Amino acid sequence: MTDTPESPDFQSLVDEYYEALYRFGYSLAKNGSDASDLVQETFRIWAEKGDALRDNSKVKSWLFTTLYREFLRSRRRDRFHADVEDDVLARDFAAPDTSVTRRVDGREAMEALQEVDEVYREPLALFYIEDASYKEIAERLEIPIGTVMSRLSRGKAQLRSILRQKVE
Amino acid sequence: MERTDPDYLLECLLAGERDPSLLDDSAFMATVEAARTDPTVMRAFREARLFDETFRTQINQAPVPGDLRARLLGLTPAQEADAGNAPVTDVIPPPQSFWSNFGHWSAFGGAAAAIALFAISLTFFRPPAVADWDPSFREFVSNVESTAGQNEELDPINQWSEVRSHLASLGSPSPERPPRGICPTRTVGCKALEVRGVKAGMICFDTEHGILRLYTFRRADVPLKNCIDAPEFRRIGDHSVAAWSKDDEVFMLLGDMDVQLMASLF
Repeated sequence: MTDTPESPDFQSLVDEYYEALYRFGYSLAKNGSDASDLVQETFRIWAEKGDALRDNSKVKSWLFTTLYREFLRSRRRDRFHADVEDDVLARDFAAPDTSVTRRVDGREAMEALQEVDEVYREPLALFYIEDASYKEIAERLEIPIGTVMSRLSRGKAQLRSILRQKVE
Repeated sequence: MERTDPDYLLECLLAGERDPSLLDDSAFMATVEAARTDPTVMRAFREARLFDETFRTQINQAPVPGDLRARLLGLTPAQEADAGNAPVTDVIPPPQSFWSNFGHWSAFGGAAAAIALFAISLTFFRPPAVADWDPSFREFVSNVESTAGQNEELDPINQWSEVRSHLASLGSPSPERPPRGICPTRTVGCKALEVRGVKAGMICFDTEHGILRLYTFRRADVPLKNCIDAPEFRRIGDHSVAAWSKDDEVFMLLGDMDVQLMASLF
C-alpha cells in the first residue's frame, strides 16, 4: 500500500502524473485543449503498450517522453520549428532576481514559460515540470549534455527577462 | 558558450549538483573545481539555485482542468481497444435515459444483475471493522489524535519526492507513497514532529474530503505488539483514524470524515 506497486495500476498512475503531464503539455502546445489531448493520448498509449515496460522506475520518464513525441508528431514542424541556437541573448548573469519570480502565480509562471523560444522552452519544461536531470533532458531531446546546458542557460535568461516584464 | 565564460561555469556547477555522475568526467570535474574558486560565480550559483527552486514551485501550481482526471480515468486499459483515436468528449459516453434502454433485453438483464448484486451486498456487506487495539496502542493513537493540528506550522513543500527527502533530512520517516485514494499532488506540506516523545514524519494533504494527515512512526518507538497488515479504522475524538504497519514503520491517517469514507481511500 505504501510501496511502489510491482505494476502501477492505471488510476494511481493517472493520479500521480496527470497534472505534471498536463503542465508539460501546456508549456509545449501553449493551449489547454491541445495539452489535454496530449495527456489523453499519452495515457491511451500507456493503456495499449504500458505492460511492455519492464522497469517500473522508468514509468515517469516513459510518460514524459511519450507526451513529448506526441507533441512533435502533432505539430507542423516547418511552421514552428526555428533553430535559434545561435541567437545572441541579453546576458543576465549576476542577478536572477528571485523576488520577481515570487510575485507571479502558477498561471503567470506558465504564461512566462510559454513565451520562451521553443528551442529553450522544451528543456526548461523538462527541467522545471518533470524535474528531469541534465542527462535525462539530453536523452529526451536527443542532444548532447553541453547543448542542454547552453539551452537551459539561455532559456533561463529569457525567462527572467519575461518575468521581469510581467511584474513591471 | 566559451569554457571560461561565467555562464558556462555557472551551468557546470548547476549540472554537476543535479547530475553528480557528470563529475566522473575529469575535464568536467576540473571545470567545476575551477568554478568553485570564483566568488562571483558561486554567488550567481546560489542565486540561480534559488531562482530554480522558486520557479519550479510556481510552475507546478499552474491550474489543471478540473475534469481532466475523470476523462483520463474513463480511458482504462480494458476500454482502450474501443477508444482508438476518439476525441476527448467521446471517452465518457453521454448519459442515457434508463427508460429509453429499458426495452432492450441487454439493459433489462443488466438491471436485473444490478438488483441481484445489490441484494447480495445487503446480505454480505460489512462496514469497516472497528479496530480492537491493545490499550497502550489505543492510548498512543489518542495522543496523536489530540495533538493533530496543534502548533502545526507546515514546511511548505508540495512535491512528493521533495517532501520525502526533506523529512529524511530531518531524521523523520515517511511512506514511499500515500494510500491509493490520496493523490500525491494534493500534498500541501509536511512537518517533522514528536508525539509524547516519539518522532514522526507528518504529511498534510488538502483533498476533496478535507485535510488529511498522514503520520509515519518507527515501529520500535510505538507501543504496537502485533503487526497491522491491513489498515484498521476507528473513530477517535474529532477524527477517523486508520492505522497499519509495514516492516519497521507504523502509519496513521487522520481525517475529519466518516470511517467508511476513510476506508474507501485504501
